[in-house]
Amino acid sequence: MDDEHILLKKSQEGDIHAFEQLIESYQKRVFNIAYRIIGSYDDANELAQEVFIKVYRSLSQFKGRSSFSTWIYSITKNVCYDELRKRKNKKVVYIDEDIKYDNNEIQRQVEDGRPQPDEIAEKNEIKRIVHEAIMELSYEHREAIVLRDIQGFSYEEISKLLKCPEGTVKSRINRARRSLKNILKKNEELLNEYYVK
Amino acid sequence: MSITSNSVERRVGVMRKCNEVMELISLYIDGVLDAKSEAKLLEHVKTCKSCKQELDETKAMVGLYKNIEEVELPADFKEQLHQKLLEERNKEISSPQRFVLRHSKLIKLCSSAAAIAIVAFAARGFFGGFKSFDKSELANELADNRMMARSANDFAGQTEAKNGTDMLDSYNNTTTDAASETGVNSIEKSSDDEFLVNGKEALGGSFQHSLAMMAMPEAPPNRADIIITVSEPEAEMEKLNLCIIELGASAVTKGMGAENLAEPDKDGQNDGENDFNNIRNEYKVLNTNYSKFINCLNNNFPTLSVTKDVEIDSINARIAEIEKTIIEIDKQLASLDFTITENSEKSNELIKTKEQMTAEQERLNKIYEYIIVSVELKKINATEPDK
Repeated sequence: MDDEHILLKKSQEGDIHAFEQLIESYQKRVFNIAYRIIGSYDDANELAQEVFIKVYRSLSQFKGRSSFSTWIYSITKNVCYDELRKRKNKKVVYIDEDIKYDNNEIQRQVEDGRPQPDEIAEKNEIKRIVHEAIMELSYEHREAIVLRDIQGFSYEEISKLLKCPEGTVKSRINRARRSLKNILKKNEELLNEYYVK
Repeated sequence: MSITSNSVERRVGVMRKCNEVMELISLYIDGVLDAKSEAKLLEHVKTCKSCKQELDETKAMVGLYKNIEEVELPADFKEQLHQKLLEERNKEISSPQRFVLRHSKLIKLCSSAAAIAIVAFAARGFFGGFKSFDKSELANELADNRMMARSANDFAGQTEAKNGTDMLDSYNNTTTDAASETGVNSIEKSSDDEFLVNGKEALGGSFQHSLAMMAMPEAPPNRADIIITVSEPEAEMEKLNLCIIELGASAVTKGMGAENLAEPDKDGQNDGENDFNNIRNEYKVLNTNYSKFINCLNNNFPTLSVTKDVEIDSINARIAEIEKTIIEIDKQLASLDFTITENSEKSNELIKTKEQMTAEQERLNKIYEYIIVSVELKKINATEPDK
């Protein structure tokens, strides 16, 4: 039995200290996934905490059919998705009350629900632009970019996390990159300087 | 300008090829393209300017991400999480119903093909057997507190001293758990002793009754777990949603939202079926809507026999009783004749008691403002049996 299994077993018995050791190596990555998907540092903090509480609460359901890491990241993805959906729903209520937006209601819903970048955490201009561009992507594309390009998960890992066939992941990543490239074109001048370097 | 059919075909052919190549660009950049496709791509970009540009730009963009460093965790992230984990563990201690459920009713009801509900009850006797850490230490500490035992014995009337100790231990124990859950400070032990003894002397029968109620040995959970075993969990979600819609968005807040805790398969062969084997939603149901919610579940899942495992009526009765006692204290305070010296002391005692009562009332209101209902839709025979 390796260390992770021992810690997992102790955690399942309610040992918080063991659980904290168990998740130590996942904390930063979970936080970063949440940050890139949700866009705000403070919200990422809340969500990452929620992820680990959920993991702790659901430990008894983990039967080892997947790796522990895949399971954690899968929960992270679910928590982020749920948060964005909740935000979107909240805005639906708001927009319904505002007749002015009738014509482009759907567009508005997406825009209003979109998290704003946390400028404190992103000082560098290029970083900021890329971060903002990622925030402009649809959830599906954003998720693909964050998992593949920011977090460096393999296609196979993403397929497991998203529970969809690898072929779908491949085309989704391709499409996501093309969308992102189009968004980044707005900042072509600045980025060209970077490209030349 | 006329276009020959040959040139049209050629253009269409090129476009088709471009589309194919576009699909391969990301895979090429990521180094996961097979040799044959890679050769096709490289051959194509030699002659196709737009695809070459697409490739270069995408490559450059992927390079941009290298600029994105990971953000650091907030300084207090671990501490915050630690506190939340402690709260979570305390919750488990005060509502160990999940275990009881899965082992008793699940087995009994599994023969029903359509739908099976398992509702757990917090069993008083379960506290003893439940593996607890700080809790048992706390219980021992409290058991040694003779003053507590005496007060408990006093106000519990006919209860034997030993039982009184148990009762109060349990009460204080659960108070501590619940207080840490809600962030409300628990009453300090020493002042509590004083309060109980003085309180009894200061007031009449109804007050004693309230104290006895407050000292009920159980700390009823504010959380209910419902497991519904069905053949098509995803389809059954609609029925569940009916209950949510019926109560309105303001009445039922989806706490965690739809969550899929099913583990992805090791081999990555996710055929979609697994996604919906185990759907669990948590709802924050307003205290006043809890009974309605349970009734709705029963109506929509005809073969389900969900009972109210959160004893909301008795909890609300307890809160009402405390409210009545506070009013009683106010009345007594108003009627005190302060020209009598002794009454000044009595008044202080009454005020102190009232403060304690109010704190308890607030604590209960806070805990039971919402009932957390976890509804799990489980596919029949989809997962291995629980331990």
